[in-house]
Amino acid sequence: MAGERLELAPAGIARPRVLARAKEVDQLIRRLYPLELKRKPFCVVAIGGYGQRALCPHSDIDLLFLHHDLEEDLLSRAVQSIVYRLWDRRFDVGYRICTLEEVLSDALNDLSLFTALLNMRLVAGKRVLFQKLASLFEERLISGRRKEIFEVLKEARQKRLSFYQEDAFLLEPHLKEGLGGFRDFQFLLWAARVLFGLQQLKDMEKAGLITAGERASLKAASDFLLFLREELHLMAGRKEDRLYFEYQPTLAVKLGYGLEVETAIEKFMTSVYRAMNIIREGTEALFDHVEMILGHRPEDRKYLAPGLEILSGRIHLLFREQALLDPSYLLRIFLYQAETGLKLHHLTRTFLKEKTPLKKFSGFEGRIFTKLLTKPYAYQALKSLRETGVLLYVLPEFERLLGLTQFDIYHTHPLDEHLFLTVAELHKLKEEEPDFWPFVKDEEVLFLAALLHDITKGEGPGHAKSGAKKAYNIALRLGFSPQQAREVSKLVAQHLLMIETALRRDLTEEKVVIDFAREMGDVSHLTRLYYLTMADSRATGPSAWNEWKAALVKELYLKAAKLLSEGELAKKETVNELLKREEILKEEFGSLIDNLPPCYLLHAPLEEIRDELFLLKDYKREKGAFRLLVKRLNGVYRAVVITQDRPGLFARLTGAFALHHLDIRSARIFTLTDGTVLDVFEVAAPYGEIWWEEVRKTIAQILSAEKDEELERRLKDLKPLVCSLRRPEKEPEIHVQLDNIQSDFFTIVEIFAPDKQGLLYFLAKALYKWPVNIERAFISNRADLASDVFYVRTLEGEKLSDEELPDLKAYLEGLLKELCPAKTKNS
Amino acid sequence: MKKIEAIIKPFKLEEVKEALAGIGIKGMTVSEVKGFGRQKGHREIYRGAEYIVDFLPKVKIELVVEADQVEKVVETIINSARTGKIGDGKIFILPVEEAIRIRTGERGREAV
Repeated sequence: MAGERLELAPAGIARPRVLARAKEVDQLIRRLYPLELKRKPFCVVAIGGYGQRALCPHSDIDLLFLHHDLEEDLLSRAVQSIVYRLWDRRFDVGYRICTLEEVLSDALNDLSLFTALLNMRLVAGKRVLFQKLASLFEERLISGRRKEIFEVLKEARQKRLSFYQEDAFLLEPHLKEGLGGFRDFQFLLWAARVLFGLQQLKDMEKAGLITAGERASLKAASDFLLFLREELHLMAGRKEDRLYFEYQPTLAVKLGYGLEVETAIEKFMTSVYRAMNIIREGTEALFDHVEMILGHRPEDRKYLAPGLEILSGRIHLLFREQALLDPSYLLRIFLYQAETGLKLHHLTRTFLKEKTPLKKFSGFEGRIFTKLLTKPYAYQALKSLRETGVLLYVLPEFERLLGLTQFDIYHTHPLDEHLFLTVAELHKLKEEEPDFWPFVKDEEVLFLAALLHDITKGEGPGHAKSGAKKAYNIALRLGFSPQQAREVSKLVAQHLLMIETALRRDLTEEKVVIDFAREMGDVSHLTRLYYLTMADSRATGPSAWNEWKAALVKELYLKAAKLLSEGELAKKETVNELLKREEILKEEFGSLIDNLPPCYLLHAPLEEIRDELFLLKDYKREKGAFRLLVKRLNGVYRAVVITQDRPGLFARLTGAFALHHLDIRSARIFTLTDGTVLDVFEVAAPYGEIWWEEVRKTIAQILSAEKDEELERRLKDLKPLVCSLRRPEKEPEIHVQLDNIQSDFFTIVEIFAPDKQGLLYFLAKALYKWPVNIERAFISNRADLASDVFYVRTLEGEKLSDEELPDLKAYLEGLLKELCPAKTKNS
Repeated sequence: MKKIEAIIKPFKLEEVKEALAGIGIKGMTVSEVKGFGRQKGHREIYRGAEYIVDFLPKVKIELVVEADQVEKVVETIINSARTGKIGDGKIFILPVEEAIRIRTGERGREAV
């Protein structure tokens, strides 16, 4: 399939330059070749990179002085005459002087000498001697040892990569030793040379080991790296093979990637990654091919699925042409790969790489793709999809992302790899943090969002928003329902919201968490975003995630989950209702809405709220002491008091109601950011009728009083009403319970006590004196037993500390015993 | 020279950093740390399962300034990091014997 198109800078000019340089050194050595050795058994052999004629400006020149029983004096004179001259010209020369036997036995145990000899080439001296070395080398060191050498090569590569695979080398790649660097390319050639006796890419193509397309892109990629190495050496003025940050801007601009530096660097590095990726894939494919040949008998076959078998331990496609006509057959290959973790058979891989599917896939077939994302080896399958080009058939949007880099130290991986890794991290998280996974509900939604979350990154600012739109269309194309597509889209749109909220907002603020939970809507979406946030960060780079950040994100998750599953937002419709109301009221009241505390908009029907807001607006315009709004609804009254907040206000208001024998059923206290307070009471009158004008006067009086003594005196003098007089005498039941666990933002004070005139006033006052702020109160009276629940916080707006709770409990119990003294036994 | 170490709430970092930049502080070291003081860890209970956080995430800022700047810096940190709630953090001031810039070997005031 569409092989990686590689638009690389003028890389072609590098090859002639390095060849010319090698030639120049050849000629120099020949000129320096001592006359006295003309007829002696001696020769100068180029090995390593120089043997390959790949000499960059500051590359080492590796020489082998081969001789047959020559005296030491003569040898040292000869070597000096050549090597010293080269040193004078500032070449770094590495050399060894040995006889045939010596070099052959050294090379047996020294891999780097052995591999250097693979590129040996006669520069000057006796040809016969050199030819002897060449044939003995082949005979003794290669034939019969092919498998052994391959294992050694493989091990050496593994060892090298374990070092160069670190994240730092992703940002500043090592052109020679890094993953997909020169060394990898050499390993590819060496393996082909040792195992199949093939010398060049051309021969490998002829032997059917690689395709024509692979050969072309391997050549382009290695030429590009060579060119970079050339430039890098010149720029650094020394043998520098690592593309450090400091070199990237100059090189990018110099190589014509544009004049705007940052964009140029990103484009340039994208080319570098693409080139290195081609070499890495090529090398790994060849190694895999060799391993298959060495490790399995060719007839090792096992049935896997209709049209698919396991051949030599790899997934093999039986009906090749059909795969081009039947997308579901094609995609199922990768589905099985994601399930089993097996590699693709080399024949299957090269076939898919060369050919393009002929038929567009439908939504039904798209779902095979989304399903494979949820399988344990999805990451391997994605890599195969990318390598064979099938990925671009399913998701052409990825074309732009391949190797795309961001010039910062935060994002260590190219974009396509980052997205793949996000999927891989999700699979790990599913194992590592299984507690909340069941709430994810629709796994496919989460995994697809993980793969697409940065789909428009680098296309301009606001990639979350633009990506959401694109992701929606992709999801539909892949066969998701509109509902699922919306869920994917929402995850993409919000993929930064959770981490930003967790790190930059105060999670002990109820409003912060409520606003966030509101954005989430329900626990499933919240949980998906939680896992996406972790996976995204872990796939970004080492500095993007740690236990420290994890703790904050988890705190936000748990608090929001609680609100959505147990709290005020628990019902699914609630959040939608809230958003709707906000919109309606915003139009009518403008910025007034912004000052309201969370959940105010939900405490009553919309009509009630509207009336309250009119009153609030009026109060704000004209000020005055307070406003009172009363409405009758199903047997009780809603009384709303708007005034300036002050200590003890709530207690005084309850006192005022008590003086009129009004029963408070519930109360909510809403404090606005500007210090205005909105207290909403539901009250009932024992005999139905209430003289509200009287109540209003009482409130005015009490609010304007300096002290509470007058109010308290009146409360104590208050005679019980006739209708509530008759009560059986019994021991007062008093319970005080304090709970710090149930709510994330409040301490909950629960009180059971015999109902008594003014009880609520004294409780509220006691709490205010402690001091705590009462934010909500729920009061229910069962016969003669009052049950009062208060949601309280410290004056700073926090829950009380656990240590404080026993003292507060004792204090309230003491107060209640005083208010409701025990009856004497004899009565 | 004095070293000022401030432990603050994570979400206050940007604000503190900007405030310090505003009074001309050009460099500082920032680390993500965990710990507890009077503000103990907390428990989160969700669907019956308990999640205990023993050490709370905080941010530590370290900077070295001349002695006469200390008051100003401390005041700036307090003003920008304060929420009034428990766990707002602490500031420590330590004497610094010497400062050396590794690259040039400069010492004292020059090196800071």
